[in-house]
Amino acid sequence: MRQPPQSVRASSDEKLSAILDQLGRLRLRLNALALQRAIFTSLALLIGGGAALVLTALAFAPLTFLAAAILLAAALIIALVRSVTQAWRSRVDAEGTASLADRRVDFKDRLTTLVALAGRDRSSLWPYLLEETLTLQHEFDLSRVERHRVSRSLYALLLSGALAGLAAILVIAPAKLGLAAKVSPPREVNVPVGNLQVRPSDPALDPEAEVSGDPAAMQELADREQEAGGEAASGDSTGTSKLMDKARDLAAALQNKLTGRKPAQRPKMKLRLTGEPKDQSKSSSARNHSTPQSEPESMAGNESGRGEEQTPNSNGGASEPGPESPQGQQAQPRPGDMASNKPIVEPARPDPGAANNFSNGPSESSPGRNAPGGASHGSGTDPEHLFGRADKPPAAKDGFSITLEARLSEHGPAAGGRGYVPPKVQSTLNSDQQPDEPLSRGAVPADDRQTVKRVFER
Amino acid sequence: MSAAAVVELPGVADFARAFRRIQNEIHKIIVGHRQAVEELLIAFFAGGHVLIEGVPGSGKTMLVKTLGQALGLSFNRIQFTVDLMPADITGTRVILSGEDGRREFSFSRGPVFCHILLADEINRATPKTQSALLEAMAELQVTVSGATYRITPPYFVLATLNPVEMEGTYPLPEAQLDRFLFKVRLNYPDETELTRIISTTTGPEEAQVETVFAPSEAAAQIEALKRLVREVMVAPEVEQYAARVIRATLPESSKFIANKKGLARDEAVNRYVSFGSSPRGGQALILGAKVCALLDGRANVAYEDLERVAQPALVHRLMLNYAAEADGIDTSHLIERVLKSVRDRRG
Repeated sequence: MRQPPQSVRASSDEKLSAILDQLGRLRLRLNALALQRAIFTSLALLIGGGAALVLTALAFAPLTFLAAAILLAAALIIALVRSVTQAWRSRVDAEGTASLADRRVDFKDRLTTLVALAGRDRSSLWPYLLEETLTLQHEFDLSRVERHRVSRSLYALLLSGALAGLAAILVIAPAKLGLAAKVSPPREVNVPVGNLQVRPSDPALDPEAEVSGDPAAMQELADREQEAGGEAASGDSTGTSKLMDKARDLAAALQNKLTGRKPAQRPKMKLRLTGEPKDQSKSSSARNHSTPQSEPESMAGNESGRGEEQTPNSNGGASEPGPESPQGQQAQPRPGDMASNKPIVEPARPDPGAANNFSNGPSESSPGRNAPGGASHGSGTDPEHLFGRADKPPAAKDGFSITLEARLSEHGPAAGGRGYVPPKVQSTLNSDQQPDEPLSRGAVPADDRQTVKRVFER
Repeated sequence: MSAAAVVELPGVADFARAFRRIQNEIHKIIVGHRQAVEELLIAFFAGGHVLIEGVPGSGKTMLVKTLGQALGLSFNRIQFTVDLMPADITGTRVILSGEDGRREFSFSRGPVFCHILLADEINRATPKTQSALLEAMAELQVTVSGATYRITPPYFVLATLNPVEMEGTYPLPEAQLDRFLFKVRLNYPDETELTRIISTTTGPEEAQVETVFAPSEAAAQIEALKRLVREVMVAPEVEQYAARVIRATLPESSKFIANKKGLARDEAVNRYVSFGSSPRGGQALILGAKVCALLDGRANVAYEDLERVAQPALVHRLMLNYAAEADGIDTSHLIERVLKSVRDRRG
């Protein structure tokens, strides 16, 4: 092959360097875009992930938040690694730039060939390729091959910024608007322990009440909790519960940090347990729930007469409406709740099924739990309720139920502290009031006992 | 984008012009078969030989004859039959008497000594006779009784195969098939083409083919163009792509593959191919692609040039197994799959 003259060769080198310069500029832009992509995507992931974490903290309960946060963190790490890896791979060398330019402007691999063979023995057609490529230089201009100067991943960054802004608004706005101050202060409610359903609570839930009471009431609560959760707790290890508690505490602390909430901002209801007999506490607790402000009066007792006057069925039996009914069936622990040692206490709700209590007979009922004058007493003396439809109590719409989730207070006797001693309140009775004495249970004639029993068993 | 218009270098521009002129002259006689004619000329300028497969009456012989006329080169035709002997092809030594009465052996050249040879229905001759062409095709020489005789280039063998009437035929051995650069298929003409064929061949006037090159310079000029083809540049990436295509035709189960790294694991190839392409397939790809690049006015081979010639370059190099025959698998279909898989890997 005949070699071209020196002047021609020099000219060829100039042309080649002109083409390579243009490719170099293109390479610079492509690599800058790859770098931008890595930075913007990483920032977008970090900011968006953080915002999503805050939103999750605002929206979910601690344990749910903890699970979501773990998933979110894992996804974030994977996405970050992938984005950086992809950006690293998308960087180009000289050959890659030429190949990319060839593909994007359909340049028939001229640039690839030119770059690859630039330092080798050249064919007699090399000047032709060089001249042709130089003539068509405008075809692979920067604006044609890659017109973007800024990576489009900037949009992702902006989007994540918007998400972060939304999260910030949701965190900051309540504090600015004073919404936190509107939260009602913790109430103090007196609840007779005999009227409570006790069952283990879900460890994922945060306690919303503090329970305190005299030693007898607390002991009663502990007994009932043990009774309710005994079967469930027997198959569960306390280690799991402790672990769940720790996890929840951790999640709650993290949530509070993220959202700026203080633990004190979450009001807890103070639940004071009283050891009143059940028949006396019925109307008392009802009043306590309906009007918490009248609590001192309710603590004084002497309400049985009023209770009868207010609603004829207020001292009714198992089929009666109102919060007074013993909850034999509802007090059964749910399977999902068995893992906890924290009880859920509920004021008693009407339960037609409570008629089963009566089947035990009046002589079997204890004064504390199944006090005379309770469900069985009322039902047994009211023919309408005795033979009527037990599942449709006539005044059911007047009742209500409230579920309180509670954790034993450290001030309570269960925690080893001194028991709560309720203050003695002295109030004088008016002319309509009678001292608080339980009504005596009416005796069923011996001849009718079997009949009454069959009716209730039916 | 016409590169030929940009730079008037005589080589590239002349090549494309000569190629198109030959094409046009051939199409004065041959109606249709545009792709086949182009592939035939690509193989010719790439320096290879062509196997033409077509049904009777599809114009195989006419095509080769017209090509010889258009190029202004010597042309011979051998009708292969079962009783054809190797000496009938290569030539033989005969005893000649001189003026002084002395007798001596003299080599009488056979029909292989020409520029363009048509081996008509090559699969009807015995393998022994078929093999007589091997040396001529590969090395442009014939050895008879210890004496070697050179064949003057350019040398172009076109063998035709009749896909019907397979009784009493001898399928070409793989070694001989591999020596053909391309395999070109002549399909049935469509209605318009058939009408034109009937019209032009039954009239009183016959179309005359003009010689593109002056007869005295034809061989030299064609050789110059063939050398130009070799000058076309190929980037290493493109060569690697061709190698990948060839490797992708190899079934994994082949015991002749020492290093299986980089094999495209195509399920269809593994299932239906018993033998993939030889390295000659890669040479055919690159040489054919170089001619395509020149035709496009370029001095470099592009990936698309390789794909353009992949079918004729590989279709006769893939040996399918009985499973493929049972399932009615076409070699062209497999080549398309191979190309797609390699293209996908390239990204």
